[in-house]
Amino acid sequence: MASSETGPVTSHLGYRESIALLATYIGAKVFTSCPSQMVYLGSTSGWITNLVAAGTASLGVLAMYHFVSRFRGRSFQKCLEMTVGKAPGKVLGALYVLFLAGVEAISIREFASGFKVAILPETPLMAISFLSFAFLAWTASLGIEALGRFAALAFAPLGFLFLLILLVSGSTEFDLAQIYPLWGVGIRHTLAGGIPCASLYTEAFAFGIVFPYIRENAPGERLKVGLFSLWVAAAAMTAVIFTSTAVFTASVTAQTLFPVLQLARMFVVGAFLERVEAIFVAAWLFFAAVKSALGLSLGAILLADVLGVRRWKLFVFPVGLMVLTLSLLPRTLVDVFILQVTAFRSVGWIAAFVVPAILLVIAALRRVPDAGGTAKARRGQSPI
Amino acid sequence: MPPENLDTTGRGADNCMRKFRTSVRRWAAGLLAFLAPTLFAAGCWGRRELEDIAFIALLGLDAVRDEEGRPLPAAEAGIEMTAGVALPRLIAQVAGAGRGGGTEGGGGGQMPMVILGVVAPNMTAGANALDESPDRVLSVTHLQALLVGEDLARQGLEDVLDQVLRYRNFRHTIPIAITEGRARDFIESFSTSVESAPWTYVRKLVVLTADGRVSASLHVHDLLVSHASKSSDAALVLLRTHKEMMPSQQQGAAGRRGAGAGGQQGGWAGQQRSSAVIVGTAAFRDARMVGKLDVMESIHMLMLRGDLKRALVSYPIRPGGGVISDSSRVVTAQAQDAGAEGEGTSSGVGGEAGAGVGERPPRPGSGMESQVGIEWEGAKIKKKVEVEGADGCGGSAAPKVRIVVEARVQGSITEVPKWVDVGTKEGIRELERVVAEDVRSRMEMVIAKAQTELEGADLFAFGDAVRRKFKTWGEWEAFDWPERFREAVVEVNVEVKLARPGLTVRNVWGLKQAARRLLWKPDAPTSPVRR
Repeated sequence: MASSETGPVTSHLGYRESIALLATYIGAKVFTSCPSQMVYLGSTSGWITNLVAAGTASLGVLAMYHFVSRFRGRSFQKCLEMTVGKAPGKVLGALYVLFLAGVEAISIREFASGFKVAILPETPLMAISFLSFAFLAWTASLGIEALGRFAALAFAPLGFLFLLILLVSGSTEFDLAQIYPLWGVGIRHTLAGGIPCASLYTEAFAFGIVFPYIRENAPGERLKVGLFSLWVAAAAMTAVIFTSTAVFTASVTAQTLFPVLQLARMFVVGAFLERVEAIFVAAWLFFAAVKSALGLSLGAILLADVLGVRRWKLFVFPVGLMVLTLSLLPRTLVDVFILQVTAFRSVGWIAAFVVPAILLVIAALRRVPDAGGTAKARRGQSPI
Repeated sequence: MPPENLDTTGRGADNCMRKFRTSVRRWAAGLLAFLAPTLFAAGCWGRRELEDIAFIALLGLDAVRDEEGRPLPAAEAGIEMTAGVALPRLIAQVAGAGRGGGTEGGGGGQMPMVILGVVAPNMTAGANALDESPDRVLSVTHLQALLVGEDLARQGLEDVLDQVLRYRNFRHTIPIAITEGRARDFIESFSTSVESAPWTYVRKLVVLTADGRVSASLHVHDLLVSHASKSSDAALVLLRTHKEMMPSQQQGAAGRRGAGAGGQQGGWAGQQRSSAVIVGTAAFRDARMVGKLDVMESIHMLMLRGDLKRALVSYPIRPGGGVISDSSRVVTAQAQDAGAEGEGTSSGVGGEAGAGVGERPPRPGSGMESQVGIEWEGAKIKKKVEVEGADGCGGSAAPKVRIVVEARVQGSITEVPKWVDVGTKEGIRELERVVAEDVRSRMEMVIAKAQTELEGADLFAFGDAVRRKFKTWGEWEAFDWPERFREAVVEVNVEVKLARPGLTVRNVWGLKQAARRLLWKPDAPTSPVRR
């Protein structure tokens, strides 16, 4: 269902599907180097930093909810245009398309590189990327609802599998002493530094775009979707950071590109059950596929709205090509890691959470869309 | 006339079937979604068949030696790599011969392993050089144990092991051990009649001997963590070969291994083979080997770490009670290296393990005629840490660290001399006191050894308790625990609980005397440790 030009979007996504879809989208990065980045920034208190970051992102989700809910089911782009005006709104929307593409590009590059490093070492990166792209473009074109149902179907078993691997891998070498000193880089740095680390949850921004697609059976249910999915992802991320720090130490985790993969490689039960990465790959692929497909869909939807085209599926291929190109720009995986830590992740939270909060304030001050409704009412037209 | 509430339309059954079909479809879709991605994992680019790969089962690393046999720095001379490549074709033959009553080297007289060696600047170059030798591509994906020669270990393993930690085909879970002498000599000379594959024996010796474990650091991962945490140091299993006699009827070890065994038929003379034994642990600090602990020291080191699971240990006791062990009796493996081969061991750990090191069996007339055998079943350790003289973060005055270790060790009695009476409450208590004193003494000695001889290697993970006193990582690093540990005051309190006397109470050989005491001399002195 494409977003309408002016009217509300028809809601098809159920409560469970929405949570599974968004939690997968936000939490998929747990398989990449994101846990390492958090430990890199927070040392032994990386898991606390992560909780602070998730708390900050929650405020962002709250702001986003109040912003988009003012417009009663209109698309995110329409909300932008009604708040700041049509032309600035389109510019802002285009910037958000680029932002989403950048986020997706980094994720796809990390997933593809991780796949090459750990699973198919002799397969060219280009082959992995193009195959992924073709698969994702097809998946994205199925639409958000299909993705939501697929996510709801596989999220629980694969999430359980993921936790099982994590627990078993962690239990053999788990050493709580490695969590100390508890405040890692210091209390002030942990708490204050955790706020920009909300960039780790940049993907929670997608809640604003998916919002009109979520069916609301009870008041406040959409807000629950936003917060619950965020905290499911945050819990998974915290578990990985905590376990990885306790198993590998903070120093080693901070330099490990794929901590979850390393944890899976530690999986040994007795002396006979080991080397279970093949099963782990299933979870990895599922999360990567759903995340990337949803990212493409959202980018295409937003771009279609910016350009005022109803058939957003036309833009899946162009957006996908843009993401693929961007993903191949960094020369090495280390470049991607540094880019994330130093550049993208340090400002991502502003785009994802601060701007929607500012938009909320502007909308409140300008009383949109209520002000428009009142004006129309005065002119004898029906309100929105 | 059917009841009113009976559904005669069949709609209920239809609904039920529909729900069932939906449920089945969902499960099928879920299963497909779960399995489909694994298809990607099965595909590969530049695939290799199993028959095209040769698996390295044992990998040895050594320092290169000059003409006079002195080890050269690895940074200048490179390293010597020795690969024991598995020959699967021969494993079945050897195993079959074993079942038929044969011993090592059966199955046509060949061991199922070919040994390749090369000197190279680093492991990557070595792997490349090794790979040129055989027809198949060498792979370390199924490496069973990594053995490092003592000389190289003493130079430090930071650079050497980087590939092990970085390269995807290596795993953190690879067992690692240090060999006395060269790893190459160890791989070439040892043999086993217990396992059909020699690498399995080494792996089990290092990792799977949980009941007779002498070290908590068994894998590459443990070395990595101890190095990175800055709060504890690793003690890796120390191996060496041990020559032992075997009957010539079971002439085995044809080929490479049997070559040195001689070929006499009948009797035992001249039939020797080298078995692999654990002789203790190699202590590390900053990924560099700094010394050795014998088996007894290692067991008490494990007790102090709280990692002791089970151990069979003998403690010498003298009539009248009291502790025999003193610092003069704690000898390092090096000191005993020369003449200890073939002699008994006081530890009893791991059967042949410990042969030649540790304390020798007491001899008659030496004043320590008897030993009490105890099976330790675990140790609970509480560590109380006080950081004095500073704010705990390395201020102007060097802080003093005081650690109080409360050790509760539980075990069962496996053997007592007949003059030790464990049939009374007082007897058990007295024996517990005597053993506790001995254990405490040994613990203190191994701590003192770590602080001095082993360059302050914290093999006991005391640092894990100390780091909890700090709020930030920066404070902890500034505190410089490895240096503080050298000056730390460690007080050890040991409580021994010998919960079970085994399947009998008194020594059966002393029953007569005990009965006489019980029946005819009820007022005899109750000291349990007496003649």
